[in-house]
Amino acid sequence: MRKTKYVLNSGLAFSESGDLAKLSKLAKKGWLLEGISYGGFCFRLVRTEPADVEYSLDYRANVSEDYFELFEAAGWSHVVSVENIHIFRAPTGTKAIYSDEETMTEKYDEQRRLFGKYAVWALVPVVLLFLVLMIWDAGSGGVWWNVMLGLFMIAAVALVFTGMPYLAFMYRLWKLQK
Amino acid sequence: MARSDALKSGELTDSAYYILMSLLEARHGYLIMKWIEEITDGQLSVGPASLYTTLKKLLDGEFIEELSGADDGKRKTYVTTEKGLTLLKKEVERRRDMVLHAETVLAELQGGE
Repeated sequence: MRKTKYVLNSGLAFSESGDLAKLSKLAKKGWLLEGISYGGFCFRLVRTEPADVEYSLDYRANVSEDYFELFEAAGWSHVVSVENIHIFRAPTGTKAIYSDEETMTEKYDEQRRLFGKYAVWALVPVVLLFLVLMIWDAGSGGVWWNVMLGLFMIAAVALVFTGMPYLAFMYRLWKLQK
Repeated sequence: MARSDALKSGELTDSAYYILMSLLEARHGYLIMKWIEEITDGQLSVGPASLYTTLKKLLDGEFIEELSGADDGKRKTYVTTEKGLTLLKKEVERRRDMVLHAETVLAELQGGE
């Protein structure tokens, strides 16, 4: 039977290189990345022969077949894609998928703008619902007040899940520019 | 979409410079990488992600175009446009000037010793 195990990731926006290094270490112990599971929170690994490989990650929307072919030709085989995230694997020592700073900056800048847009969409209901809750007296509202509170909490969670990656990409860009 | 700050100001990154050069003859992605490595004696190798991004930017700016009906089916083949050639020539001038400036200064330094 195939042996599979799941490893929690730390959120690729926050620790891309850390997570990829961890995957490389696991590959050396005979656990190869096969996919991403549980809504993106876990790496799915399969038991294989130990392999000396590295992983790389790229963000790209609407990719064509050409895209994967290009990586393949450069020695990077495609492992898994989830939405606009693509993970590749290559023998250790293969030349990096990004060879200059300009394009690498663009990789993170594109993500920063994407999450910035999402975060704004989450921020608007957070602010509006917060104001409604503040103005509207809890005692007189009853059920509807609680519904508003529930919506507020959902919007707040959405804001955290979009705002945090946004800040993470900002930080990464700031570090790249230093 | 993809911002092309460097391209807008008329300057080319090293990768874009060599990609434009390689596409004076129609090529597809993989051959661009190989050609650049060969002509630079392995000093510059463009990674697949950087190549993909740069190709897209050059396409957006119409400095290169996609060739339709390439012989091997689905693979996309690109070629430098007139506009791209003009940009490349301008860039060659710019880089030549840069070398010239340095050579002049270095020669003066040597003369002064």
